[in-house]
Amino acid sequence: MMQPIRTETLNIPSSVDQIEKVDEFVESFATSLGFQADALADIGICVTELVMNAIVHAHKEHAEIPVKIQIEGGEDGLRVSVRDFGPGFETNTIPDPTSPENIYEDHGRGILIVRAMMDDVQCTRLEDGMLIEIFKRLNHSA
Amino acid sequence: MKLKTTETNGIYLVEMSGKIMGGPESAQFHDAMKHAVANNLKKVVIDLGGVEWMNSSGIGLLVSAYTTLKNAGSEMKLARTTDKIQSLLVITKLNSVFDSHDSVENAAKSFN
Repeated sequence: MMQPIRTETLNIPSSVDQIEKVDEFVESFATSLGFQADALADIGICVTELVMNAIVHAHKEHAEIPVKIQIEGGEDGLRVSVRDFGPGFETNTIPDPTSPENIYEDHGRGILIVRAMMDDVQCTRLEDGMLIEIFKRLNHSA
Repeated sequence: MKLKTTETNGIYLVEMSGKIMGGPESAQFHDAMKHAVANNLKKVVIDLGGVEWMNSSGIGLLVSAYTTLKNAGSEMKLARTTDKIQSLLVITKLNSVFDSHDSVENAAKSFN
């Protein structure tokens, strides 16, 4: 278990025009921990992915419903949690977006991409929404 | 994300740059594709050389454009996909769908 040495939170309204603010918030934090360009891109891709899912799919862009983002930085790396208050979903019921019948869909690839780019992904369905936690290891030799 | 479009010698070139993460500017890209269909532009090249990264919203834009153009009888090629975008296309297996080229010139030459 990572021992956090610094924690920051950001609560945003469910509006897509907030996504650049989220990216700047996370990139600034991750840069201060020592992450380099390639890992910063992975982190940016995945956090904006999860937040967009919360805004668009969980909250249907109802701005009054907040999305809560918490970042914890430690010597081992960065952990980000994204909390929404939508209906929630079971990750094992998401259709395979790489299958021939889904490959031309314009959505449904988010969790696949996050799992490929992060070192750990935990999805928890709560009574009133979803909590998704991702972890990116800090490679000190890079 | 920034977007610039040009029409030269029958090629509709759409240059994307910055981070593509599904913000309100995505509408500009959809508008560009509508323009291509409305004006019967058959050869579309998406230049991704200036794109820092994209999340699945950006991937979704490309898939949507591909199907919209194909249904209209047009063709779409990708040019200058960065290593990061290429890795996303491999993860999503879309590397088997999109025709990617190392330069805009080579993408333009590849149309039938």
